[in-house]
Amino acid sequence: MSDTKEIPIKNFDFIVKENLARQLFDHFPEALMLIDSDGTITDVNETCNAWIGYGADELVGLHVSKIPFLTKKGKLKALAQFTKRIGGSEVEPYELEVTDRKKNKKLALIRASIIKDKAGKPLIDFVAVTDITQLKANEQEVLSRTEEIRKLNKLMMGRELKMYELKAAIQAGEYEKIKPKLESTDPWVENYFYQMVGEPFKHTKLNIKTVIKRLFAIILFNTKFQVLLGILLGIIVSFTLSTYLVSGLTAAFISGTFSLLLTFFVLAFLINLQKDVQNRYQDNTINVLLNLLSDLTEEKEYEQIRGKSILENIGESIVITDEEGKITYVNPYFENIFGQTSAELAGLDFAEELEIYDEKGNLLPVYERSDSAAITAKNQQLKGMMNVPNNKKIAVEIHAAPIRVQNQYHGVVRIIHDVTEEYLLNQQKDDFFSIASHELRTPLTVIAGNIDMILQGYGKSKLSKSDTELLGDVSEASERLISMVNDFLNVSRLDQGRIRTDIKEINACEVVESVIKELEPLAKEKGIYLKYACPEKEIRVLADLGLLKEAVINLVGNSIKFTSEGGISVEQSIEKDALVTRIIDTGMGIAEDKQSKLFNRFEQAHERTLSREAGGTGLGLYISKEFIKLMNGDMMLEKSELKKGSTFKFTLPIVKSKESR
Amino acid sequence: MPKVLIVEDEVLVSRMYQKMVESEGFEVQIASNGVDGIQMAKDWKPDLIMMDVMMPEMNGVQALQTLKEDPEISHIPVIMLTNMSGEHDAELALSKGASQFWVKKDLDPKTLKENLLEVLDTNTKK
Repeated sequence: MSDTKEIPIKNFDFIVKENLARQLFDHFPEALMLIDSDGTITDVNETCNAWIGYGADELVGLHVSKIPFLTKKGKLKALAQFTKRIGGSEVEPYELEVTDRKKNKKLALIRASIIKDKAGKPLIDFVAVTDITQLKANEQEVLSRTEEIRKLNKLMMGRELKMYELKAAIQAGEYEKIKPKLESTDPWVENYFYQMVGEPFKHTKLNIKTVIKRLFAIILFNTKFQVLLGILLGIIVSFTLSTYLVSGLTAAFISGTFSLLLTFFVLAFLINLQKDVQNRYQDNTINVLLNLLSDLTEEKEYEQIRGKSILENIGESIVITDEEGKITYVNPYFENIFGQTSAELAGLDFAEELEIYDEKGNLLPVYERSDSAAITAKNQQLKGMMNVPNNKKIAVEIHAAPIRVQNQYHGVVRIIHDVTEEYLLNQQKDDFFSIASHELRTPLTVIAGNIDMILQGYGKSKLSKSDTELLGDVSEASERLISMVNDFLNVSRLDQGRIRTDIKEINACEVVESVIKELEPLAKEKGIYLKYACPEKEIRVLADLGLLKEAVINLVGNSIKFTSEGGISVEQSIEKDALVTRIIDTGMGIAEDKQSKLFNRFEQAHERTLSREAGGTGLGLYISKEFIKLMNGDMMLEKSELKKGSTFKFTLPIVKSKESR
Repeated sequence: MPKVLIVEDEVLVSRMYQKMVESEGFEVQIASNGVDGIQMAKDWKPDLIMMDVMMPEMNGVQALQTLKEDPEISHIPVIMLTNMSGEHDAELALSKGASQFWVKKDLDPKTLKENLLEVLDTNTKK
């Protein structure tokens, strides 16, 4: 063997080649066998000898039907397969039982093929015999493990059910009712009962039926008892037998019955003793510990199985990264949606590998997508677009949560929620509202504008008094329609977060003054007062001019609407770092039960919602409050009394002084 | 008679403005989009332009920018008209050289003449 190594590969001659082939043949890790076309074994390699204990000296010259290490059936099968092969049929690999020289049974996988000459005539059958004994044993073990896990799962399901029932019963305050149902031989459930109820699980009074039931359950499920019972039965049988041999049949019958009964009572006693011991957990630390230990391992295994099956079957994409931001797992749903498998992605950086874009298609910066961003509270939710196969993009909402075990950071788990449908719907809604804003407002503006022109004498002909009145009503109605459309649009813009704010330093006094000036005619018309005086020369606040004005118009306008005697005064004061503006009216007031709903959408405190006087969509206060909130302030009803009036107030952050800024 | 060019894509609206402005003694022409508006400003040489912000193809702010970049017509004062009380659009338009910014629904026929003359006046003073 060693000389062949010294021969340079270049100088292969026929002999060397033959030598090499021989060595390959002999040392091939599987048992090999050559059989000629008559079915006679012509060669066997050394592995065959090493593995089965039969060498070339014994096997060469034997017919294939007489192979000594095969069983009778095996010999027939070998012959049949050989005949098939030689006849030209394809033969699938097959398994055979092998008995080696030392009489050990082994399992072999037989693969064979026919080597033919140039004319296609079969020359020799080349047979490889693989030892699959260990493989089979492993397979068997996997199967039995699976079966164990299945059983465990079933057991845990039963426990879950009982726990669930118990929980529900406790919540309903009637766990006594459920107690008989919980009867079990499972200490785990009783332990749980103890934790939940705070008292040991006491079994219902013993009667013959429950004892037999429990006995059977224990015989069926408890291996320790099975052994004990076996021993006891053995003793009884031998005792009875010996009594029979010594004293005859009657005595044997009596003693046998007695000892059986005795055994039964001993068992019943033991079972109850065990129950008792389990119930007195405090007194039996070792027992409790043992129980706990077995529970813990079972529970852990169960948790793992449960966790895994959740991950694999949930209809959401899940990505798990390790502490370095490298992907360790993606679930099958993710694989389906994104067309990349766990194996392909494992070990790759999440932020680099999975690109997330904003709505406009710009790639979000890596730091926003990385794990460090995901573990800061601010970025636990991320919205964006992600690539999927076929050059498509889907809208996603990514929820990320750090994995911590005892304060140790172990990476991030992300749930990628496909929101494409919602996204498209929202887009349609946006589109609809922007179309509505243009299409609804334009005709309304034209109606209002043209009527105003006619009313103000654009036409040559003079209008009669009743014409003027009619047109006046049309004008008012169209004004109201415009403001309603504006309300709806404002709400939809608020919903979509599309209100842009331009917060800067403005003089709050000026804003209120301009509103008062605008609404004064309305108040005058109703014969009520409208008072305002700025407490200082100017009060500078941080606000958006347009939004603030709209909110103030709304509040003051509302007060005018609901006040018919007395009037409205607007007061301002500085409290802490905020400007507080109060709108105090002497109007009809708001009933207590309506006060809490005041700032909800479509809510009007008064029943006369659709009366001409009140008018409106019921969105005004909601919009105003949201506007003020957008400017970092708040709005509320300070007090209100029916028939005496209401005080609304809102706050806005003030600009302190030039130096402190 | 001062000449006012109204650039507005919505016929109903432009016709309404035309009547309003004409009744105050101005001469009025209408363009229905930004591109036409710029062409008409060059050909007709109005004294003042009223321009809608929201228009298809070339929007008002783009048209305004083009106008102000053309030395031939950059001196003409422009009043921007909008549907919404958008302070942002107003600021943007003013920064691009608009003289004033009017919200359509606040447009009052009673004060229209006064306001138009004010814009013309300020511009000639410059």
